[in-house]
Amino acid sequence: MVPVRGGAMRLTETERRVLRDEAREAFGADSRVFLFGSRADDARRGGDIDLLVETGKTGHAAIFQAQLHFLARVKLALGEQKIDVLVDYPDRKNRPEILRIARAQGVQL
Amino acid sequence: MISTSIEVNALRFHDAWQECCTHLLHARHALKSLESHLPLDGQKLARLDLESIQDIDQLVLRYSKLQDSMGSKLFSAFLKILMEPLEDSPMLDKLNRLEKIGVLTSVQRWQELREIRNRFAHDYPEGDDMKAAVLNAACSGIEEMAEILGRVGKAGGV
Repeated sequence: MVPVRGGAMRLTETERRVLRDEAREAFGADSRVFLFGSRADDARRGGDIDLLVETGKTGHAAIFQAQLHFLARVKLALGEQKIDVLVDYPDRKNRPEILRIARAQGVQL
Repeated sequence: MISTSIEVNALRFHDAWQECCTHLLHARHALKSLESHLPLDGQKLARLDLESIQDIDQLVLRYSKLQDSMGSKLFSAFLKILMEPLEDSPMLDKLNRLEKIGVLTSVQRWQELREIRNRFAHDYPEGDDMKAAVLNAACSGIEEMAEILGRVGKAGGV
């Protein structure tokens, strides 16, 4: 089911575009990025940008490099912000509950 | 008055440089103690003895302090002695200037080194394999920061 609250998020159009484009650039064209947490809720204010990225990329070192690349480029484009990125990838061994919650609440960018 | 402020700037630069060198010394010492375990992987990390875990803690601490000191103190003090204070400018302007001078090979790479440090400041729900990947990235990051520190020292006449 696609979440009905697809429009709900407190990001500017530029922020959405930069996050989406840089995620594809770092994690591959098939990657998808979801916003969850307080920024996905129109009724709340401020807060960190919590993201979940789903990618087909594998290998822990490659995933971490992609994460570094993504965060560095986003911050150079948007300025210093608090951004947390969870990454779901095929050979991820531990699957903490937060991944499921993020996916269930997340709004795709 | 002008000559006094030049002296103060030179002193501040020298202090910041010394501080960074101390962090680098301890980071390299930890790196050397861990040598036989590098590069790390999840299994090796899970089996480290107490002594090596202390070395990892020291590595993380000194990596973070070195990255902080260079970014928050050394770079500003360096630009001041070059008479390019950029004091009220955003960090990005300072970094771009440092890239132009040739101290940083890439602003983006510096920001990536920063993100490794940010990662240590945040508890992510990760397994040992990912923790090992982060630590391996920090190990190579230390030598990259050492090179930048060397270039700043040379250009600043230390």
